[in-house]
Amino acid sequence: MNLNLAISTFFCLLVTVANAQKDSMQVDNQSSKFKFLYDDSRQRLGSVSLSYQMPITTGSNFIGSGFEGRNGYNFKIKVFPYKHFFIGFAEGMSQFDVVQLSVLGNYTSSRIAERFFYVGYEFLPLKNVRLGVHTSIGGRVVFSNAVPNSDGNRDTGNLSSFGFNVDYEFIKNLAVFVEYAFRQVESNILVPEALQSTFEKGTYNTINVGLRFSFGNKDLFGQFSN
Amino acid sequence: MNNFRILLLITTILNFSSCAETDIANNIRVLVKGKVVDQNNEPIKNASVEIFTDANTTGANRILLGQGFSDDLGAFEITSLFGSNDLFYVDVSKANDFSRYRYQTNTSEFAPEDLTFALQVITLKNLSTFNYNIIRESGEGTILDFSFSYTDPQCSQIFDDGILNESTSYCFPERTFNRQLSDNIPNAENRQFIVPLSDTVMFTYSINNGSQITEVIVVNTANYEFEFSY
Repeated sequence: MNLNLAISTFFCLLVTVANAQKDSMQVDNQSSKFKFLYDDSRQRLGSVSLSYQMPITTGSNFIGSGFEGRNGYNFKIKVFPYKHFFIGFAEGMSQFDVVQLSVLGNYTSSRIAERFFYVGYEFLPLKNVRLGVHTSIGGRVVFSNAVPNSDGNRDTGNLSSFGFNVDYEFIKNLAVFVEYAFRQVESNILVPEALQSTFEKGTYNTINVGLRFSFGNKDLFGQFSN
Repeated sequence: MNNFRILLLITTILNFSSCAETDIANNIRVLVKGKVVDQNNEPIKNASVEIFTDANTTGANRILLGQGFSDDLGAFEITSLFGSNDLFYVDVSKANDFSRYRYQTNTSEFAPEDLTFALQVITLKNLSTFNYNIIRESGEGTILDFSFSYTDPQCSQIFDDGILNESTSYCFPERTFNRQLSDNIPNAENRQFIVPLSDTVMFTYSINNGSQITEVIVVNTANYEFEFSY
């Protein structure tokens, strides 16, 4: 329920930003000082990024209580269809150690493969700095569990991710960035009723540090309109 | 040559059948719960509970699916992985000074509908090592026939489709063994067996086929020493 509320709030924010952008462009025509919402000179077509990922478990659920984050990585590609709105695809991996066998079952570690599409908007708070907010669409995770003396087993679930990133462009097309995301897994694990509340959802945070390469000087619609 | 091919075929089939993979199912967990008490019905805390599975009895990997301990009240609720295999065990133990309990079933044919294995109350008995020395002090030609009757402290319950199979299960069964000492082997020294602490052992003997005499021994220490001479 909270997840749906968060998504709704996010899209309301996007619509508000879209309207504000229209206003801001009018402001831009009068004065070029207000560039927070949109700056044509800093428009990009898209970007690719690679980052180190630090997963941090949270909450009273099978991930929060049973796992401890170790490391991971994330690869993202995104394009800007219109102005600073972006859509993208992310693929990554988070590695966890099992710290509570009696909560999860007997496995020593779990590797979570994460895959999701996402949408968001990018703000320009300062020169050389970009601030992006995003939410996932249609995310999926696969847990590969390492069980001693066996090939292990797998659990699956649906992933939601909400986050923001701060990029610092140290040259025109290359930026170093830090990203935070809150992630929630709705698991497909079949459990007895007594364990339903523990396994229904799992939550963790991710902090990423990486490099982003941007390309193009116009948004996607701009490419075709000219 | 034909015989060799048949032998090769049989060997291959046997190899495949004995190396079946032990299954661990995806996207499922089960709950194993119960309570552990001693022979005085007092809860045992920190009893070890281990859940295993094995594809079959002919050489597949035995895999530990879940493990945990009982709490201060002797209760345990352990989340475990699960698989469809011939053998599914829950072993309950408390160091070496308590007896062991085993729950066993076949999960290739049976899985509880509510995904819960409720083991109810499990009794682990304090153990004692019963040491005995029987020495012949009389002259050659004296024959001693003796037996010990005692309670075996182990308990193993085998369930078929969730129902206890009484014919293949045993729980604290009575055991008796008989021996004869004579000129060939006149003494039985430094022998031992395990019995529940505070339990009784019946020692029955006869000398030179005489009348049988029975002694009732109360095993009241963790290392009970029994000396007998004839």
